[in-house]
Amino acid sequence: MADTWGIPGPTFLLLFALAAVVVLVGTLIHRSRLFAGPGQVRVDQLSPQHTAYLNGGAALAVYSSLTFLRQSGVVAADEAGRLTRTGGLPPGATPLDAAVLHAVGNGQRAKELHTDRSVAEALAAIGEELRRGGLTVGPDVVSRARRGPLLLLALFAVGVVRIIAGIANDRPVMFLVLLVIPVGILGLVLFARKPRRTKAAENALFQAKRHFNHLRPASRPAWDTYGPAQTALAVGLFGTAVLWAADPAFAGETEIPERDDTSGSYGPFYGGSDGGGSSGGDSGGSSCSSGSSCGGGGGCGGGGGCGG
Amino acid sequence: MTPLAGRGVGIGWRPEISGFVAELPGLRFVEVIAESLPHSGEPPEALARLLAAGVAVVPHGVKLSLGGAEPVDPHRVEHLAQAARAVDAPLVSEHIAYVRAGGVEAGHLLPLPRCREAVDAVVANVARTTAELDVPLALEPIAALFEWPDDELTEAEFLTEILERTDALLLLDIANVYANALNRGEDPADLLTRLPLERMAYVHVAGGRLHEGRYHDTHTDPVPGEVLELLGELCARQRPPAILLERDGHYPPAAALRAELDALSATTGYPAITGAARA
Repeated sequence: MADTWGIPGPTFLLLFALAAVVVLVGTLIHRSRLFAGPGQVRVDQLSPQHTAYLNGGAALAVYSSLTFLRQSGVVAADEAGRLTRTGGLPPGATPLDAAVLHAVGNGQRAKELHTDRSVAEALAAIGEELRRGGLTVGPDVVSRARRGPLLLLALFAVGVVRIIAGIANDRPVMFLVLLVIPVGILGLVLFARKPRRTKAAENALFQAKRHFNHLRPASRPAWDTYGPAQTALAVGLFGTAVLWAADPAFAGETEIPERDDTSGSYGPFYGGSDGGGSSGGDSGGSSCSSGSSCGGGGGCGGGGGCGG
Repeated sequence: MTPLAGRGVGIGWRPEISGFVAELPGLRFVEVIAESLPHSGEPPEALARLLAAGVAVVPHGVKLSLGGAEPVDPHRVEHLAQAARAVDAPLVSEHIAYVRAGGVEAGHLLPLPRCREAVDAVVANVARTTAELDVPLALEPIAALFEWPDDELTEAEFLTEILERTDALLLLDIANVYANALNRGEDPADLLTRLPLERMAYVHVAGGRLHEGRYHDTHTDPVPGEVLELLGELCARQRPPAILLERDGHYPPAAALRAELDALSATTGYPAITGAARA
């Protein structure tokens, strides 16, 4: 009986495994470079709202802005939980603050603020600045990062065709099946996985949380002493639990969701225009990083005819 | 040489305002509630950063109950000594007061009857405490909203005797002096003349407020002008080596807190620690 495609099973298996390892390693290196971001991002280069957006998405940026306005004494809540405007734009206000205050004047509820047109525009501008600064991962980077996973999927397809041909040729395919499946899974996982933030942004957030550790709700910070801007920053870093701690009556009346850390979703518009979905960093395919468990296929040295 | 000589104006370090305290450019000493320090070793990171910057940290005990009839709890003494070692303190301080009796925790600093028996009890407890401490101890008289009926000694006599017999330093709370005098209808400056001011380690300044004719030493209100005036009078007699602003709640905006610190600097002639230019 002739070898399938004229290539002996063990030879094909070896070539396939080698190709898989090369593509996988290349993919991981390529992705870690793509997702690295700028060399140095300093904590104090980010405004409270940029920090909030980076950490918890557009929703948290809105709550950070609302916190700034509330602590500045220019918004209040009526009995129905509707926001009301009680003053002009405070000094130090950002375009998002101006948009949010305007929306508040139109009687928006806290949870609907992001639907206001000028608020959405201000949020989009922040999102765009973060992308341009290399802090979040834009669609162009995501599509470049998908080239490697696509190669893996192509390899998977070749493997599948070989398995079918091997079965048709009445050759054993067990080892090839065991090799092809993880290649396909890896390809899919890496294709689907896209970090929202670059590594540089993750580091900057980590540093900021450390630097502003005194703003954690757990140490019951004196919000009046720290002032509106720092309280807004605290919301950005540590979540809306800060507003709940600083002004429980307001947070309760306006039904702001209380979240302590900001790893989770803030609602339907989490992630802003990037589209939400996967949060957190790209772990670099740690489930199968070295290739030893899934790319090697080393168990097929002596026995003939195991690779289709 | 007194341990805090020339340290000038400081502030009570509290977790709630640790970010504010960290940003004071001229800060040279803080006080930390001794009981808030972890039992074994490492001070909180924010405090460690201050220590690294050369800021002196004074553990201030509030629960030792030196004025209690029963001996001080050796575990609490050990913790105070441990706290002093952990922050490399130049001294520690506690109150001339009791906070528990017969196993019941009062939850407050309570004043002692000013009698010989009470002096003996305090002296014995201070001796038990200083035996374990590697650094000097400063004793702080407390504000008293009421007087015990069987006081044998005046407040000045009471304090002087305790300090002389224990060789402890004096932590004078200028707001308490004001409060006690006001609540007794006396002249606060009068007490200053009769206290052993040369034993002063540092001075506490805190806010308070008049309520129904009595002055309450709240630590949550601004420092009244009268208290600042009294501080000025104290400085005219004997300038204390260091002044500490005590604030324990209702923390005001940073600008107001800085203004209080600057007012202490202006009154005492010590450099402003907030970065404000000297007036």
